[in-house]
Amino acid sequence: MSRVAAGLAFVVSLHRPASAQDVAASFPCPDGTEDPAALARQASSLLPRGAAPASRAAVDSARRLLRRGRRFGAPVHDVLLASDLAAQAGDSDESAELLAEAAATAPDALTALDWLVLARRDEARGDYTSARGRYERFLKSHEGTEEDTRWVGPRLKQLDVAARAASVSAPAALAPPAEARLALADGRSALARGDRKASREKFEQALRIAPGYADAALALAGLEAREGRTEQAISAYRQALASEPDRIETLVPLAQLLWDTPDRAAKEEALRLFDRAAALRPDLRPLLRQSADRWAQWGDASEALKRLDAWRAKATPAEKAESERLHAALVSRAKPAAPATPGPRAASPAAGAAGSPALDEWKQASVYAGAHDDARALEHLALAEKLDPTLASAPELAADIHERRGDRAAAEAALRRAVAAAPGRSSAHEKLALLLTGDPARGTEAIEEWTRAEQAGSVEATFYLARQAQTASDSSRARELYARYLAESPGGAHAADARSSLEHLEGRRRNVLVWGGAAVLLGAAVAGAWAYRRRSGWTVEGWLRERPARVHTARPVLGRLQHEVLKHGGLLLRGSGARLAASPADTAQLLSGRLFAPEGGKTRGLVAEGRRALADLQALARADGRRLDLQRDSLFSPVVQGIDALRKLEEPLSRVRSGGGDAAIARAVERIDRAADLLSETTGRDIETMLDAVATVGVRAQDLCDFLERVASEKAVPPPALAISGLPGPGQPAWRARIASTDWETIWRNVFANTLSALSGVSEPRVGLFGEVVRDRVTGEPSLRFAIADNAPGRLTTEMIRERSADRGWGVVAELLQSHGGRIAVSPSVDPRYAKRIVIELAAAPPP
Amino acid sequence: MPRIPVASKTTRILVASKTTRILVVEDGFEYTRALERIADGAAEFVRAADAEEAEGLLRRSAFDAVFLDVVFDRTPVERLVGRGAELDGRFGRNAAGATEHLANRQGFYIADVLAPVLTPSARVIMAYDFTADPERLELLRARIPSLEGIREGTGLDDVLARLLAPR
Repeated sequence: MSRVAAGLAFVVSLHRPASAQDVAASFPCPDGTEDPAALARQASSLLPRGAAPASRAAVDSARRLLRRGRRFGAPVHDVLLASDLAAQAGDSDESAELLAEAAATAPDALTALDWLVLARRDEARGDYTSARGRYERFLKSHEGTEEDTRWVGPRLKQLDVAARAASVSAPAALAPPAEARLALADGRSALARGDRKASREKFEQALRIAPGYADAALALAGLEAREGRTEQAISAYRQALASEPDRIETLVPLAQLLWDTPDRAAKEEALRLFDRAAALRPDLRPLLRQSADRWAQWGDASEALKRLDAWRAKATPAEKAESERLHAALVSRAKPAAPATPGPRAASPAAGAAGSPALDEWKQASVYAGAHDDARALEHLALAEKLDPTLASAPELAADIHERRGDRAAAEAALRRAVAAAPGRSSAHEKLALLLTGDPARGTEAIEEWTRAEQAGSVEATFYLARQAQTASDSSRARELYARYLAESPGGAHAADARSSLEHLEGRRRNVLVWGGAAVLLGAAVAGAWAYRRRSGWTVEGWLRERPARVHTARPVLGRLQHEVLKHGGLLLRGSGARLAASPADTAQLLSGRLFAPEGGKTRGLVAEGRRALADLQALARADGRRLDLQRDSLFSPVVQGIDALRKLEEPLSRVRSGGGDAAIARAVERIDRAADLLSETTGRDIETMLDAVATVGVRAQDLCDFLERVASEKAVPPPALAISGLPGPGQPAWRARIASTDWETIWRNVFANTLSALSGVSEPRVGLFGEVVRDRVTGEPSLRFAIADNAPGRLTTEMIRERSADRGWGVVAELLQSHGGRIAVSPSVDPRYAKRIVIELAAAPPP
Repeated sequence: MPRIPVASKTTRILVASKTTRILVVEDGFEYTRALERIADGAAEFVRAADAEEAEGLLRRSAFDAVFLDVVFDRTPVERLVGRGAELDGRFGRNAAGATEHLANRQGFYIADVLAPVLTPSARVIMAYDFTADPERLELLRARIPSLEGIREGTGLDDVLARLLAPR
């Protein structure tokens, strides 16, 4: 019997009245009295005396009477009796609710075990503060030995951490969807063109699609600030800050706008934000100076002096000389023990978002990191990473801790994991780039990482890339990037630097123009940029080979392209040239309808569908920091050119429809044939073959056997007896599962680790692994089905796995399988040697 | 040319010769119109937009051949067939994923619905290339023995010729 159940039984016997009588199962309803005492007496009369158990009917009737009595203000004793009866009837919820009611009115009437029940209930509900109070009352009321309650102290400490973790903000959302990234990119293009209206619409669209998208909120805030819409700018900056609280590109301009607001509270908040920015980025000395200046303006000389001294310790002799007067003034004004001025304190984050096991671990790690208990923080972060490999915030926080401890190698490794987990998050790229920038020997790597950060949407990256271009004497690119930075972040942390650099470069440019060599230099810069872009473009296969986990999201996009362009385009275009020559008006009408469906119609038209699919593909790659060069891609270049040829058909077909002569028909026929030829160069099968070459995993019995042994060795447990059947053995061709190898490993690592954990107390642990290739009855598609059977006790159901209430790691397995179109289920084993079996199904590639 | 009144949601294109009747199941009208133009009166084409409509037509009258598209991404989700416990188990709460999965394979699910009502002599051509996985076609032929695929790059002229060819 569990501690709680035992406690409940004890409490029931404790409160049971001595005068109770056992009666038959049928109870006439007493008169309609409203006297709680009379009702309690009637209830007691239904219950047996002594330790004899009451019948179910007696308990139910007594509960009804007591419930009625509570409506008219029953005393606490009756509430406790009702609680006991509810517990006896198995209604633990009502029992605990009644205990809580009694605890609120007469806490001294509760026994130690009552407090324990309430503490456990609050803890299960996540109300850690209340649970802590109840445990303390339990300790006070407990009359047993100290030995019995020794566990309570550590429990209280755990609850402290849990309570603080619950108030930690959830980390920034993972990479926003491709549509949002596309809208942001479009907004930036519009801004570069000077079309602010379109730009705002696109930024707002990105935020509608992904409300937590910090880069989009930041871009919108910059636009609002430039247009003088301060209130809207502050609101957008706050939105960005809520998603990513540590971005200085948000902190500094928001602090500046708040400082300029004629409101005391806003200025206090601004001071906090300036301090936070300076603490986050000690490498940016101007932030510290800015903070000192603001504190001086606020009128707190002591605080201002602290910051100014910190700044002067890093300042150049000239800067020190310049600040001498301010320093002297502050020294004279500062009082030795000036009381702390209002406001400025660490920002308290909003309550966290809906949790997951990994997120809970991350939150606890944040609490430990805040308390400088690095070892524990790192332990929790390692667990968070294991539970959810896509939670990039976990390795990011680990990197912060390693960096604080001076372990740059570990920090870099953690940041690389963060970048791999969520390539679309600009903050991870920024942190890694900053780390690399700090090492003069790794300048090239730093620039590459800044480039990735910029492609992921980082505004700060544009500043660093501008500076690098300026150092490399690529003035044109530097000017473009500085201008872009100022357009997107007019009040940003580097705005002053960017402005002066841009002015400097513009001045030089004017001189060069005067000297007459501007045209030549500009041409060279454009050619350089063009060459750079050509060099830096990726093929689809190259990108997917680097990010094989992306294949499952790229496959439907490529499927659309394959269906619309390659299949429909091929079927409808082949022979269309000849038909157009024979029956010009009708055929032109048919082709126009299919290729260029009217705007707003139900169908989009093959050209628009094809271009949309290509744009979606580009957006997916951009999220990974990769720019695709489809023209250079031997597989996709014919598709791009084919779609372009189709696009150019609109005008010739229109001429043919309106009765154009032989020349118009000949021109259209030529273009149709060219498009058909181009589109037949790459087949859907070619694309499928490429995808399968990139992201399929060979499956053999021996590989899984080795894997289980490896996991057992990592867990330091002996490998269980393993029976394998159905899987390809030595000499047989391997099966091919359609999944990225990293995801495949994560799935099996978790499956085996959980299986081994479940078997830990079993005297003769047994694991059976069975495999088969199955075909969908309707579509005929092949899948690989694996069944993992074991003789571990305990209950595990499909719902527990899918709802993530099962052991750690099952949720990750279920999610990964689902994202690859697979599934997981649990069923009792038909083989008596095993207790249960877990069935995993994954799509298979046909044999090569 | 006289026209026969059409049933709701169904496009009937009457041609001079009625020797061959072909049912085209697709979510648009592209194939129906293109085949009709190429056929130039050599066959009668009836278009069905989804499984229910196709099944109704096949129950009411005989067709010599059926041309079946595979992707039905323009069909309203409530008209797609095949949603069941198996699909829910695979996609869980990801309704969009389940719908995409169904729409992209709808032709196969429609074939499954039509199998019991198809006459054995009717040729069924599906707009899908089975050459990469011939075993898949063999499996589907257990339900529809006359099922054929289309190799990628095949023109619609060739498809029409196969639809018109006697079995």
